[in-house]
Amino acid sequence: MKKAVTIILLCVLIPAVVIGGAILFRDRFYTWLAVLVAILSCVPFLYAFERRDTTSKELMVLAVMIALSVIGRIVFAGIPGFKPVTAITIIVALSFGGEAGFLVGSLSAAVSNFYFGHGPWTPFQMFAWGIIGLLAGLLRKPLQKSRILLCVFGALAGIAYSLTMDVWTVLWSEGTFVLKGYLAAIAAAFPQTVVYAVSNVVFLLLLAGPVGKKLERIKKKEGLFQ
Amino acid sequence: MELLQVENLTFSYPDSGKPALRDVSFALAEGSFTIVCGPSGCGKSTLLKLLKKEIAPYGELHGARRYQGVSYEELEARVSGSQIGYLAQDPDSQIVMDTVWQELAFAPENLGMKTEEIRSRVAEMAAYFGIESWFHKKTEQLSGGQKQLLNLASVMTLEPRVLLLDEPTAQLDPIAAGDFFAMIGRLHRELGVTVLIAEHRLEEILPMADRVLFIEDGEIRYNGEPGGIGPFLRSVSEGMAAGLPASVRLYGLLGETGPAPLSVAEGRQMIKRYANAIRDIAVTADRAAGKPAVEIREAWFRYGRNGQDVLRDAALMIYEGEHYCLFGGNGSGKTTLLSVICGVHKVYAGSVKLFGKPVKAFRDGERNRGVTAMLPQDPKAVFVCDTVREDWELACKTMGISGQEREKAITAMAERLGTGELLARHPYDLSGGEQQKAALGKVLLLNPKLLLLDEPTKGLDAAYKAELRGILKDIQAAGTTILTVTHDAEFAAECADRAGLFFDGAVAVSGPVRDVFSANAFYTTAACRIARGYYGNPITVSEIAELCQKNGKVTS
Amino acid sequence: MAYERIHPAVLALYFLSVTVPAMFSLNPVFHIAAFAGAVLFMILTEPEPPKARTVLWMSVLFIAVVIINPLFNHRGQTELFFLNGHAITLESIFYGVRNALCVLSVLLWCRIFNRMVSSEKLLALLGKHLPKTALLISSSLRLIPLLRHRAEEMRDTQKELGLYGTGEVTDRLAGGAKVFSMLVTWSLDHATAVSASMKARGYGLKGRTTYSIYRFGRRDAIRMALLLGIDAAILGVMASGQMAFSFYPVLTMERGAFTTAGIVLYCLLVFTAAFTEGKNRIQWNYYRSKI
Repeated sequence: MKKAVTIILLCVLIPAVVIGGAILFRDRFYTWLAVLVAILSCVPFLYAFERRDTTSKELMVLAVMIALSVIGRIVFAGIPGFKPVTAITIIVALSFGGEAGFLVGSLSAAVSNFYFGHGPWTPFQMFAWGIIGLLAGLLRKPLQKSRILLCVFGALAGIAYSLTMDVWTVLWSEGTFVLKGYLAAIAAAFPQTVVYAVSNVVFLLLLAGPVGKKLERIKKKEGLFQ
Repeated sequence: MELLQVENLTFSYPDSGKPALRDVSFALAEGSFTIVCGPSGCGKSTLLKLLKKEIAPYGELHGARRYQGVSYEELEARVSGSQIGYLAQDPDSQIVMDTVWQELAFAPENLGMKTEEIRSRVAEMAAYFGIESWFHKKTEQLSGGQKQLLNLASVMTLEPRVLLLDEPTAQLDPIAAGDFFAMIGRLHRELGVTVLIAEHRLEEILPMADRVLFIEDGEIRYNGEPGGIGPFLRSVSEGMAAGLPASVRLYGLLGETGPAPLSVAEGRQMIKRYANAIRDIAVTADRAAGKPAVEIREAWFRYGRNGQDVLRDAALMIYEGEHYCLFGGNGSGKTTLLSVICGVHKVYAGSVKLFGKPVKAFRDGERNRGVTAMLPQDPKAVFVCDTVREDWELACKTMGISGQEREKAITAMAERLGTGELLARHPYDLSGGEQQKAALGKVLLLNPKLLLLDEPTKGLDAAYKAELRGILKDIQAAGTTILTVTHDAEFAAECADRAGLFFDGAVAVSGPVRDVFSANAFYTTAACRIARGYYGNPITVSEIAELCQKNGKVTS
Repeated sequence: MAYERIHPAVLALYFLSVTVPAMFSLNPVFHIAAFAGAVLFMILTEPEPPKARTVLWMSVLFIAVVIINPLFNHRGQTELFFLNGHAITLESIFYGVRNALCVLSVLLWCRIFNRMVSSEKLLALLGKHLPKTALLISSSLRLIPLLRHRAEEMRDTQKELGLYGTGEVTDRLAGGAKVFSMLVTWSLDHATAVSASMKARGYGLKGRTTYSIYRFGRRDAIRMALLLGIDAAILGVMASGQMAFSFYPVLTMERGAFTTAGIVLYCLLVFTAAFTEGKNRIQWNYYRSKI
């Protein structure tokens, strides 16, 4: 009964919010839509996480991986774009699956922003890193087999992350989505995009082996994330 | 009323030939305070874990465990979770949450209590434990002692009837340990909590206990009153006896009869039965001071430009070939002093010289080769490889040794320390004492002229401490200078030549061990505190025994 | 600080009330008011003046955003001069300024929000609806300083033991990788130990509740109701189009019956934070002088 009510509520609420925003905000509609999409895409995963049974061990392993990727972001904060967050998210997804990957990705964004500052950008970062984790989990089998494929995925993930964040940049600075502005933002962020892609590949090459091995070992030994 | 019963408990870990516990039987009366002691690996930790259902290890189990008459297998999860509390050694690995109040609320939340009830439990515990002033702090900002108290408070929010404590003060300094024991004592006396505590540090808790269990090789060898441990001593090996409080050991050495003295105060009464005409131990002449190995003058140091000064006009002189022990309160800066000596950090004023050469002059990398090497507080930090052997090989690589020579060096070191079977294992799988030895091996392979040790006896039992003392004496005999930072006065009394007290950023007191200990009232051995005022300069139990025997009993 | 006594849910709603109109409207009145409100609040509450570096990068950001628009957008009636064959118009410059003000004011309010609503307050809010996620975030926050400390200890020890060799980049990278790898092992071990401690305190039993030390009192309810009322009014005026502002081809602001009301309400909102802190200060000093 409760579940049915929830579904109806969502089916009514979501379109209402979207349409309401369209009326209210007119030309700011794209911004409204983007923020909504970012938030709402995280919500089902988080709710699924709440619903399922998680052992204390699984919880703590996730917490550790999130902490490590946040520390990685803090340590390399001096070099814009150079962070191991994406790499660690992907590595977690490879061993523990897409849901774990989504959680580590999106929550790394959320937790690291306690240090770097929260803002309207937070849902976008959560969305971008979360989706990367999810995709990496879905593509587990081929990515685990080929190191080259993994690097390609990493590079593409870096580019995708940058493109997503550029959407936010243009929405915010221009106030709405203007294609020319978007292209300008992409061009301006080009060096950083390259650094994103490169850093992902570098960290994947350095860490996928050793860290992946440790995650596999603990997964087997303790029977986690099955 | 017996709250907890253990009957014929036999347990073996999987893939293990020997049972960890053999036919163990005892019962805990409600409101009792029981100590479990015994050498490392005797099975006390396994016993405590088996009594906490949620963390009981897997293996082959025979026999019965009963709480309030209900067997553990049938015990409800909610009862087991809330009425039996468990605390482990490491304060850090029991904290889950980011802030203190969140941590205090954690256990009641687990039990599904309503907000108002949680509010009252949290408030009560915070007040009882005196946590109010750090209620809103982040857990990571707390000291080790505070963390362990927080862990205890967190368990107490569930109002457990039984507290199982597995060496809770092993990682704490003496003052924090004292605070912790005081709190346990309060919980026992004021709330009637039944306590079962496994400990090496018996000095403070033996007087509080109504029962002692002595376990060796998985079997209970003694189950009785604390006072009766005295006569039992005679039949026990030296290794186990060494862990008992000074008064009890003295009692044993003197061949006294009757109930054994358990505290320093009781020990002081006991020695009054002997005359004190001869007050001093004959002291061998001080070794001729050699050249300085470490010379620190007017050193100032702080972390970061706006931090507080940690070293304030510090001075220290350590001579070649001697063993120097440095004492001082927690967080006083002793570890910083060590890091400044090995050059990891640099003083901003003053000078630090190693064997006559300023530390600044050593280039990175040169210092490690054959000059200094440090064993950190946590031996785990020494390891970066998956087996001990690989780490030792890394050390050899730093020294530029390879091939045959390397193999010889490793084999020789393994023999010297008795770590042969440890080489193929992962360093994190070793016990505390084994890890210490493996780490020491790696450090010694760097062939240092000056060996720095930071709290080497933390968490070790008496047998390991004796072994460590032997190893250090050998190293010293071979010409190495040793600087040990420690809280362990007994350890220093047995093997140091000179000692110093670090306070307020500098070495406040420094001199031959015997002089420093005899003059101090607190930073000194228990033996010294027993003899203070009655005898002059004995600092170990055997020295007091010697004096007592020389003097003979008081003829009344 | 006065805001410490206000329930986090109210603070969160306040933050949204201020930033949503600013982000989603073109009317510069919103941006100017938001900016002023933020600056005033910060003057009253920040113990030290902002660091030179912060002011610098904010100024750079401001200028960058101002410039970008006229460079790409050539609409607008008043042509000032020509660049590369394209017209740089007054209207597009104004639009750029508006963009910059919008960005900066939202940034400042985010800073204020981050300070007002600490991690534990945010988690307490989250815990009501996503308790497990809140627990996970809190555990991660707890682990960050612990693991950093560990990493530093290991790095210092290894430096001393000669792992980092001669200090060349390759040696340092290799050393760093080894330390990181061991840190992961240590962290996973730690995770196992903590999970045992969690189980020992009953984690895993059905019906876990979430506790928050923040009590939603009557005053919070009143504040919330007021905020919702004001928000509804402002959004209503915005929806009716009476707060609309267009930049092209000419700068025009809509004026309707409720426009002034909308502006006043928003200003009220935006300056409430500063006003509350100011009042608090005065009250405090007054009470103190009476002692």
